[in-house]
Order: sequence, then structure tokens, then C-alpha cells
Amino acid sequence: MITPRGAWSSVPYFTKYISSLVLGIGILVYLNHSEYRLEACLPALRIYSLLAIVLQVGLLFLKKAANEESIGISSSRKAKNKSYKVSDVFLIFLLSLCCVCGVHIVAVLYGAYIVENFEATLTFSIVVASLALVRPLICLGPRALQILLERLNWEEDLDLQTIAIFVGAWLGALPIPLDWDRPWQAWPLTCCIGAIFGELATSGYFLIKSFIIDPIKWKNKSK
Amino acid sequence: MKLSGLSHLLVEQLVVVSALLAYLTGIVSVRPQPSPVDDHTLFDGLLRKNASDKFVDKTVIVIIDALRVDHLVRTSQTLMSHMQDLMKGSAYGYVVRTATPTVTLPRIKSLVTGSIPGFMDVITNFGADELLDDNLIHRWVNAGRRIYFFGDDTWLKMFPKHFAKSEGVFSFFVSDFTEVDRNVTRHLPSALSSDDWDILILHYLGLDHIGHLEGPMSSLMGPKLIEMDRVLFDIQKGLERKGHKYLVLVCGDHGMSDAGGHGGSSHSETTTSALLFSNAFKYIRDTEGREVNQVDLTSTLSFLTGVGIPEGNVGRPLSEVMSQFDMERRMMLHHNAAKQLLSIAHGSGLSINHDSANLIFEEATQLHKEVLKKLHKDSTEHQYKEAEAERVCKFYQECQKQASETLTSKLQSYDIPTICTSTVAVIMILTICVWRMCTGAVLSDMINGATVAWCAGFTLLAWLLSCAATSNSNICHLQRSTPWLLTVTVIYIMLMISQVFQARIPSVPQKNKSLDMVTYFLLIGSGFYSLSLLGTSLVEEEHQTIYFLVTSLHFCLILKLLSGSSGSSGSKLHERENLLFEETYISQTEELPLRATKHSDGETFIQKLRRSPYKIILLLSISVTLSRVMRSWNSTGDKWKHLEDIGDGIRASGPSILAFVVLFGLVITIFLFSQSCLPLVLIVCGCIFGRHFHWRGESYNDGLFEAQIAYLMLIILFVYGLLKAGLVTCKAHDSKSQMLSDVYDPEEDKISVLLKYSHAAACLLCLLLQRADNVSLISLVFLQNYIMSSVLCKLVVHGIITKKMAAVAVNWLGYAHFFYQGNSNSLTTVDISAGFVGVSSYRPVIHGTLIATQTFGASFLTYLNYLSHMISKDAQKERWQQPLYVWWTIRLATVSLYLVNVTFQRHHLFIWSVFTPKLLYEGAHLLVLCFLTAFMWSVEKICTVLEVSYRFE
Repeated sequence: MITPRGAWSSVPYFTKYISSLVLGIGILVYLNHSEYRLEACLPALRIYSLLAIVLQVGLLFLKKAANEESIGISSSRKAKNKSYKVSDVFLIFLLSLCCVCGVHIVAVLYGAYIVENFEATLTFSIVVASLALVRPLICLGPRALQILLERLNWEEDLDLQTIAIFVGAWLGALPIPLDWDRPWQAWPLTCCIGAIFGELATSGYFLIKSFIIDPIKWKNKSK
Repeated sequence: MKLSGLSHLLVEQLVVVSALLAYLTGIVSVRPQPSPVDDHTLFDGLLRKNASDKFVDKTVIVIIDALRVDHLVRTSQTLMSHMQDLMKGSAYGYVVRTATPTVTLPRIKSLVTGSIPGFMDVITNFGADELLDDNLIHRWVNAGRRIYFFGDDTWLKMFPKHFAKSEGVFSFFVSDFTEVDRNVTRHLPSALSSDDWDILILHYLGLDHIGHLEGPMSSLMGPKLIEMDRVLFDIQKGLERKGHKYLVLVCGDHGMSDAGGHGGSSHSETTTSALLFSNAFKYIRDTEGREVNQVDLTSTLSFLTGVGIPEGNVGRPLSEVMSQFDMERRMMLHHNAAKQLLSIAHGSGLSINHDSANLIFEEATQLHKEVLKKLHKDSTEHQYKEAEAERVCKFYQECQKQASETLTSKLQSYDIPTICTSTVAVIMILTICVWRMCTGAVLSDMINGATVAWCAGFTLLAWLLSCAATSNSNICHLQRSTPWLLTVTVIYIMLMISQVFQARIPSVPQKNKSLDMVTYFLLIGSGFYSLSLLGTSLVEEEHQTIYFLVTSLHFCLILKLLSGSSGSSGSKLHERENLLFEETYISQTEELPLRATKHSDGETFIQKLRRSPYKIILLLSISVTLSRVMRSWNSTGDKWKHLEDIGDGIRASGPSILAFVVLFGLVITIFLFSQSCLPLVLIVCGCIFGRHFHWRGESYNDGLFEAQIAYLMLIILFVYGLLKAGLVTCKAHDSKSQMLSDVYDPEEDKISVLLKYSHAAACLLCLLLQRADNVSLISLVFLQNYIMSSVLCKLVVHGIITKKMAAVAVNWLGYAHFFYQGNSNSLTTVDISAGFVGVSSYRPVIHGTLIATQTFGASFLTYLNYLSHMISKDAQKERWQQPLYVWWTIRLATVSLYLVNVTFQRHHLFIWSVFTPKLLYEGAHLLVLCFLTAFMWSVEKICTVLEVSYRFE
């Protein structure tokens, strides 16, 4: 009876990182395959960020379902939870939009064009906001941004991921002024790729960490 | 001798400047002095008679500014149909490779003198002075040729009294591309019909103007090229009709980049077309667009017109054209050309391919002599002699080729011992500087004469030893400046080393130094910034790096404030604040955290936002928005320079918008400086407005009067500041009680008053010199300076960043402000027109000072503003001097890294186009810091003098 419960709770943990790894590598392969043409890359990047959010939501539900199944919450409490959630979901949605706008403004302040390349800048802000900010929002609820700002440390998984994605996108700006004249040096691509690299790096790191450290813990727990 | 505080820093800066000057003497190009080559005097009486015969009677040189290669010689379309027809069998077409910088003046010089002005030459004679070196025009005039010139007035500045008839057109009004050419062409019919000239030079500017405004893909390009084609066709027809022997040379002075400008070193800028045709040419071998050097045209022209080659020429005559001469003459001319090249090579001390060129020359001369003898003995076997002559010419050409290639590539020789010594010297000074900065050691102030004498003795010894090792270096020539400059440096370093061993290192209480995010960011950012200067494209786009860093710094500070204001660090912040500054700095907003942190659990987000220092965050957001606006004001650099920016938009949108923008900027300035004698500031701002917009309708006056009034007012403002500072003491002593004046040192208050006024005067001076569309930009720079210096001072007070890190941040802002103005690391962006504001006559020193003020003013004022803000809050000497040391150390580190880079990469392809200009800019930034230190030093001294004189009273 104990083993399946442990398995259930650990399954999302692995699947999350594996699936984000697969998604990230997938989008990179696609970008490379399309020879970094903007008209092909931008929709792909938007779809990628949407998929990342959907994945997060799906995993959340899976986890919830697993928890409920194992613990067996009463139906009345369930209803309460749901009513609480509707406003929450709405707030999360609004905050996500705000995040996209915020990242967009920051990108403009960093020197992106306001009118020209609007689509490119918007795509960049969607990618970065959805990877770095919307997912914590989904995980932690509407107070996520505040929590992230407050604790901001390297130990927490979510914080580390957010920081890594931002730093990746930030570092991604470095190759733009170089005179190599490669197609991937076009404006949103380097930064998006940087953000995806940040995502891949943290996912890989967590995966390795969970394989090295967690099995021992898990074994201890199950005993 | 006693050196303390700023005097020491000043001496150190002067020493570094002298080391840099010594470095520059090591790379300055040698202007070759020809030393004659012995050619065994064999031709006396044989051939001298026809050496100066002219091949053609009339020569027409048509220079089309910024003619690209794909306009004429290498093009698939028919853009200039007549000329392209000519190229198919009756003209020589060449692709001409020019040297950098691709600007009209040095290129014309190169064309008429046949030499390639070294990079340093371009700087030393930036303006268009009269050309004194030996050149084609001089030689033509001396040979009695009459020259007509119509076109760009740069020529008239270089040759003010050489032309028999001339009219210049101005190249400043770039927006005009029809009138400027029509003014040239209208002289053509009369000139072609008359017979009073031998040389006709035409310089057309229209094509260049179109390129500057609309780029090479403009729809105006085609009609303009057809117009040029038509002009050339008319010239050809006119000359044919007259029946003289004529020669027409059509060429561009430089190319045009794909964005439309020129000045850089891209392939399309450094290549241009050239076309030579004549009715004296018998048969034309197709050149297939061979690539030749621009200087090759000079010697070819001088042979065709029958004057000797200019002394400094490094090009070789075009072999295809030379084949038009008869056998004897051709050998002679090739001989002369080879002789000239070898003599100049000897003069500049180059050994070409281990003297193989010399050997070839001697062999060829021998052969030449034999052929001549045979030729004079009997004139049979003509075929055989033809072949022999061909061989002689081939030999000479080989010799010319070797000499010319060596000369063009190695005209720049480096004095390795000088370069290395000065680099090592700068690095050692940097080491001392960093050591001083890190340990906080106090060097003993006293320097006695005996130590100096010992050091000088050791320097002499070292000099003797080094001269024994490398005797032909600049260091060993005592008449040159190099050894003396280096002596100063070496003596200083020795003194410092002796000081280092005696220094007492104060035992700093080991604080728990936990470096935070901002500190890490600033340190890594500075390191990255210095390292980025090693790559050529990053040097060209340096402004992008610094904009990126400045914006990141803003966000980093905002993030730090947001995260620091919540949780535990908030209370820590407040503790420090309490410890450091009790009296003045706790504004109402920051008093909240103490109370709030005690029960920080059940708070809403809004509450937390409110108790965070939102005022600072708001200021930072304004500042970052200002940065964004200013960075798009002037697009600069290399790759994105052509993009439209706000400045272009303002210029294009008409005078009323421009006036509005200028007024907006002036209003900001008036608000910022309303504290420092408002009437004077108002008058100056009125003058600045009047300079750009003449309400009296006089256009030729050009705001001269207004600018001079403004200068006068600025001097009055400065003097007023002095008087005010002098008065401060009396007031302080009169009003305050005796007890207070013990704590309250009046001298320090004086400094802040004096600085306030002189800062205002300097700001207004800088504003006065700007172009109309940059006036608002500079006012925004002042605004950002104001915001950021107050924010940084506040953050320092709250202990969020250390003083040193605040200085680093100000340093970044200073760099950014330098680039906002439209400056770059290329010499093309220096705005010469600033030198002529309010100056009617030609005074080079004043022009130079004004141009330097305009170029480096923004970054200088950033430093000055921070210092004056700091002093107004806290005039403790040790505290306000610290930023100067920090800036100096960073600048020195960058410069020494850069010296090492240039030393190692001196054979890099872009050394002259990218690295050396950047080195000059680095030197100039260093001088800005020197000037700042000298300024602060003199302000300090003035205040001391005022204080002393007061006490005597």
C-alpha cells in the first residue's frame, strides 16, 4: 500500500524534468532545423511556451489527483477548494499577463524596438515570462512573485530555475553585437535560446540530483 | 618634497601620460626621407632628353566622390553606358584599393602625393591645411602647366594658390545633390572650348551626398550615375573635337559602404573604380578589372604628364599603361620608378627581402645599359631588342613590386623596446595602484632628494645597459622625446617601489565581508567590459556593451532594493543606517521599515511595497527610462549606425519641432541649475537658443554673437562662484556660534559652493557647444546625472552598496554618457563643428579645446556631478577623494590591458582601423581623468588659499 503512494508522488517529479528536457531539446532541434528563419521560429517558440505552461498545469492536476487519491479528501472540502480556486485561477491569469507585459517593458528598456519587431519582442517576453514566472505562479499561487522576491536563494528549486532562466536570457544578449552575421544572431533568438538553455541546465541538474540524492531518501522513507 | 592626497595622484597620472606618449612615439609612422640610390650614372647624355617629354597635352581628372566598384568597373547592369562601352576596348578599368581612413582629405592627399599617410599623420593634420609635401600639383605648377579646378573646396584649402582658375563647392550641405554638381558642370563648356589649361580637375560630390542620405540602393543613384556618364561623354567628345592628345582619368576617392557612409575599413568602402582613357593609347589590353593601389595612379599620372614622381610616392606605375610608351622610354621610366621606390625604402631604413630588390635593380640596370648600347650601335634586329627591353622592364617591375609592397605594408615600423618598456611601466604603476587600493596602505609622504638621486642613477645605469643591447631604438636617441618621457616614468616607479617597502599597512579590522549581488555584478561587469575590448567587433560596438551593463545595473539595484526591503535584510539595512548617519538622512519613507519589520508576517503585498524605499526605486525607473530614450537618440558604432534614430527624426521634422525640443532641454537645464545664480543661467540658456535659431534673420552671422555672450556669462558665473565661496566663511563665522564652528569646518563648505558654481558653468559650456538636436540629449544627461548621483549617495548611506562600488557605477554611467552623444571609437564621429562655436578666426588651440570639451564633456560632467554631490553631503577629504582613486585604477587597468593587446596584435588586420583609434580614445579618457583630478586639486587649493587669506584678515 505504501509503495504505490511513494511511486505516485515521485512520478511527477521525474516526469516534470524529463518532459521539460524533452521539450527544450525539441524546440532547439526545431529551431536549428528551420535554419533560424524568424517566421518559422517565432510561432514555434510561442507554442513551446504554451506547452510548457500546459505541462505544468497538467502535472499539477496529476499530483493533486494522486494526493487526493492517496489521502482521500472528503467531498465537502473538495468543493471548498474549488471555489477558492476559481478566483485564484483568474488572478493567476491576470498576473501572468502582467508578467508578460513586465518582461516586454524590461526588454524594451534593454534596447528592443517599440514598434518595429514588436512580434519578436512579444515572443521573447512570452517565452521568458512563461518559463520563469508563470510556472512558479501556477505552483505557488498568486503570491508567488512576492515569495520569490523574498526568499531569492539558490537552494529552492523554483528560485534556482527562475534565476537560471533570467540569467540565460541575459547572457543570450551578448552575441548579438558580434559581427559574425549568422542567422541565429537575430534579436529574439539568442535570448530565447539562452533562456531555454537555462531551463535545460536546471532541469538536467535537478534530474541528476534526484537520481543521486533522492533515491536514498526515498528508500529511507519507504522503510 | 611632500606629496599627499591629490598631488600624489596627479603626479602619478602625469607619469602614466608620459609613459603613454612614449608608447605612441614607438608606433608613430616614419615619414620616409628619400636617400638617393646610386644608379652608376650611366645614362648621362643617352636618354635624359626625353625623360620629361609629356605623353599627352591635356589631362582631365574627374573624381567622383564615393564611386563604388559596382558602379563602374565590376557591374552586371549598365549604369554608366558610355563608360562601360569604353571599357570594352578603349579604356583601362581598374579596381582601386585605398588605404584607411576612407575620408576625402587623406585620400586626395594620397592621390596627389603617392604616399599613404600613416594613422598618426591623419591625426596630426586633422584639418585641411596647405599641403607642403612634394606632390603632383606642385610638380605640374613648377613645370608651367596651368591647372583648372572645379569641385570640392577641400582641394582649395590644400592648394590655395596653385590653380589658374578654380571654384569650390561646399561639401557640408549634404542634403543638396543636384546643385552641388551643376555648379561644377556649368564650367565645363567654357573650359572645353578654351585652350588655356593643361590640367583640368573636377571633383563631383553629389553621389557621396546621395549615399550619405539614402544609401547605395537609393532610386536617385541611377540618374546620378547617368548624369556623370553624360558629363564624361561630353568631356570625351569635347576633347576629341579639339584634336589634342588627351588623357582622362575617372576615379573615386574612396568607396561607399553598403549603408551609404564611408570612413571605415569595410571592403566596399576601401575599393573604388578607376578608368583611364586617351586618344594617345594605341592598343588596349583588357585589364579585367585588375586590383591596384590608389597610390599606383600617382606615378602613372606623373609619367603620362611628363613630370617626375613625387618624392614620397610608394606606388608603382601601372604596367599596362606603361606599355603605351616606346621601348627606350619605357625602360627609362621603369628605371626611374624603381630608383625612386628604392631610395624611399632606403630612406625609411627598410631592407626589402634581404636586399634582393637592390640586387635585381643592379642587374636590371646592367642589362638596361647593354640593351641601350646595342640599340645605339645598330638598329637592326629590332625584334630581339624588343624582347630584351621587355625583359629589362620585367626586372624593373619585379623590383618595384617588392619595394612597393614592403613600403605599403611596413611603412609602419614599431620600436619594440620603447613599446615594451612603456607597457611594462604602465603595468607596474597599475600594480602599485591596485596594491594601494586593496590594502589601504599609507605611503609615507616624504620624498627626499637623495632617494630621487639614487633612482635617477639607477635609471641611467639601466638606460646604458638597454642601449648596449638595442642600439637602434628610439630610447637611445637623446634628441628625441622618448628617453626623457620614459626616464620620468622609471624614476617614479623606482620611488614608489622604495615607498612600498616602507609603507605601513593599517590593520583594518577584519569585517565580515560578505559580497552581495550588486558588488559581484559590478566587479564582474567591469572585468567583462575591459576584456570585451580585446575583440574588434566588440570595440566597434562598445556602446552596446556599456548600455547593456548600465541597464542591468539599474535592474540589479531595483531587484536588490525590492528583495532587500523585505524579510530580514530590511532590519539589517536600518541598523546600519542608524549607526552611520543619525542626523539627516532618514527620510520619512525609510523610517517605516523599523516599525514594520517587527511584525512582518501578516502583511499584504501592497503594504510591503509601501514600506520598501519606493522613492529610490521610482528614481531608478526614471533613470532607466531616460537611458532607453538617450540610447536611441544617436545611433553609433559600425553595424547599426545607419538606423534612423531620434536625432534624425528631430532634424527631419522641421524647425518648429526642433525649436520645441531645444526649449524642452533648456527648461530642464534651468530647473536643474536654478539654485546657482538663476539670472546668469537664464541668459546663457537664452544665448544657446539664440545660437541655433536666429530671430534677427541673419543667417551668415551664425550665432557668433550669442555664443560669445554665453562665454562671457560663463566666466562671470565662475567668478561669481569664487566670490560666493570666499564669502561663505564670513557668513559661517558670523552666524554660527564659536562652539559650532569647531565642528563645522568652513573650508569644506567652501569647496561645495565653489564646485556647485563651476559645475554649473561647465555644464552650460558643454550644452552651448552641442548641435541643436543634441541640446535636449545633454540636458537629459544632466538630469540622469542628478538622479543617479543622489540615488547612489543614498544607497551608500544606507550601506546597500559600498563607496567603491558606487564609484564603479558612476564610471559606467560616464562611459554611457560618452556614447549617448553619438561618439564612437572611430575618429569619424568627432564633431569638428563644435570647435568653431563663437570663434571667428582660426586658432587651433581653441578649436582643439572646444572639440575636446564637446566630445568628452558628458562623461567628465558625470564624474564631476557625483563628486560635487558627495561633497555637498559630506566634505570629508578622504571620502570624496576615494572615487577619484577608484576611477583611476579602473581606467589604468583598462589602458594597460589595451597596451598589452595592441603590442601583441600589432600585425592584426584591423590594427589601424580599430585598435589604434581605440587606443587613442583610451588615452583621451585617461586625460579626462587627469583633467578631473587637476580640477579637483585646484579647487581644493583655491579653497585653502581663500581660507588662509581669511585667517590673515
